[in-house]
Amino acid sequence: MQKTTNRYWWLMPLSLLSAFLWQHWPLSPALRAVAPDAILLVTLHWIWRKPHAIGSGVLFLIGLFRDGVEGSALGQHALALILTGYFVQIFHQRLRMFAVWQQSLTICLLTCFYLMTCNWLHLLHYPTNMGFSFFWPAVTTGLCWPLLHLLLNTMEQGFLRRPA
Amino acid sequence: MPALLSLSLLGAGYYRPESVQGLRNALADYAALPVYWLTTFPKHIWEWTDEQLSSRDELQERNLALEHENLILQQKVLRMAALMAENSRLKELLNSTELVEDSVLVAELLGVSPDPDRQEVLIHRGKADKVFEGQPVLDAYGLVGSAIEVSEHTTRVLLITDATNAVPIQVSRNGVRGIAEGSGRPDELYIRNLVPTTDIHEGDLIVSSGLGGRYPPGYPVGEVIRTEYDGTDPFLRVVVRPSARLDRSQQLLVVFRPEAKILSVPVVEPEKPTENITAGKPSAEKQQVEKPASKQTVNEPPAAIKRATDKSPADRPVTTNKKSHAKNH
Repeated sequence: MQKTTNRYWWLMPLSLLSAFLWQHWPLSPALRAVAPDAILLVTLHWIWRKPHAIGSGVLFLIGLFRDGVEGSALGQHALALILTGYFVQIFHQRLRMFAVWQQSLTICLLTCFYLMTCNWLHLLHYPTNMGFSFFWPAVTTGLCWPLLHLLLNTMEQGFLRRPA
Repeated sequence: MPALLSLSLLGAGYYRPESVQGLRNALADYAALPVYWLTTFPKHIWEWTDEQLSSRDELQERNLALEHENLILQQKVLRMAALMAENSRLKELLNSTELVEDSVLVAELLGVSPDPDRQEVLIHRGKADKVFEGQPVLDAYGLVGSAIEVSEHTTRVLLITDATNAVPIQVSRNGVRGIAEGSGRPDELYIRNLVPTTDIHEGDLIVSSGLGGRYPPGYPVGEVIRTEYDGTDPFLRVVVRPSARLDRSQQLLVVFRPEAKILSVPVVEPEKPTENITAGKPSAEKQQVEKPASKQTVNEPPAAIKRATDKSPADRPVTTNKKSHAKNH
């Protein structure tokens, strides 16, 4: 484990950067409305994997960076990410015992919570009513979880097994 | 602790937005700019390779086509100048007040807000290019929106289709006025609160009226695609499709509009001919207030074209014929 944190430390920032790029990749509005929340997905994966390495300070920085990029109210994504991450940090041992479909469902619910918090904070600053369509990304995020979790895990394991 | 920090940031942003503006601007320059630049990187690479690999014949052909287009546009500008001179004479006869020509700055689109709830884009121009808050933004086809947040090198533009945006408009055919509100979707605007007998039909061109002072008058806003009236409502609802290609345009134009002093400025007889002002400095003191002189206005455009073509159009403020004729009473 020590070896991973030392030698493959770059996997986490790299995956986060890729998530940021994916999240802001130019897509058609219809596709963007249902696209999975990549930043949340990758962040949750890393909390899941290393709950003690990622504290609320790191989550705050990721959230603040996202607020800056998206131009939303400062602290909006930061607070939502800290709260969502807190659940995973508390329950990570129990969550690891779940079957894949249960994990997906949990991620879906966590994303719902995240989006709801974001939307609520967003509405304080910006009173528009767009209905409940903002929940769509939760479904796709839940569905993408097994893929991403598998991909990042395999990458990490693969690097570990490879002789240095 | 970080949760409290984000809560206090939110609170500060809510009650005293100016206190976090510095941090927002810094994040826009150092976080948003690199991320959006990286997302457009493959496109730049593709364009560069395409340019490198295009043959000499292709380039010559394109050059020829552009020269032809330029010739046609120059002819149109000349014609336009004559019409403007005529227009200002007629306006003088009608005791009308102003005729102002705007100058523009080309800005590259950097990114689109990923939040489907917000119709916002980020452009690669900022305070360094003398962009200011509230400035109108166009594309080649019509009105796009206005600058809402200006940092050093980037500017956030609120599109006219955003649910919190509204543009004072009029129907170009008959001058009926109204307010076009954003729908929150990129392809529709609504005009509400028109009486059901209003003369407005499918296919009518809607232009900005300039009332409210935020958007300049006379730019196309959209085309009426349908009118909705079900007999029970007291008002008609008109659905407009924006003229600007809000979801496609890569190059936007930031408009520098010389502020026309309408009623407060006394008539000043100009001593010297009006000089061209570069687009970056729309300051009021440089404007010359003068009577619309027909001959001079006709002669002006070729010089302006020459100046504009001397410079590289993409990187510099494009200097167009920027003259303000204000006639007051």
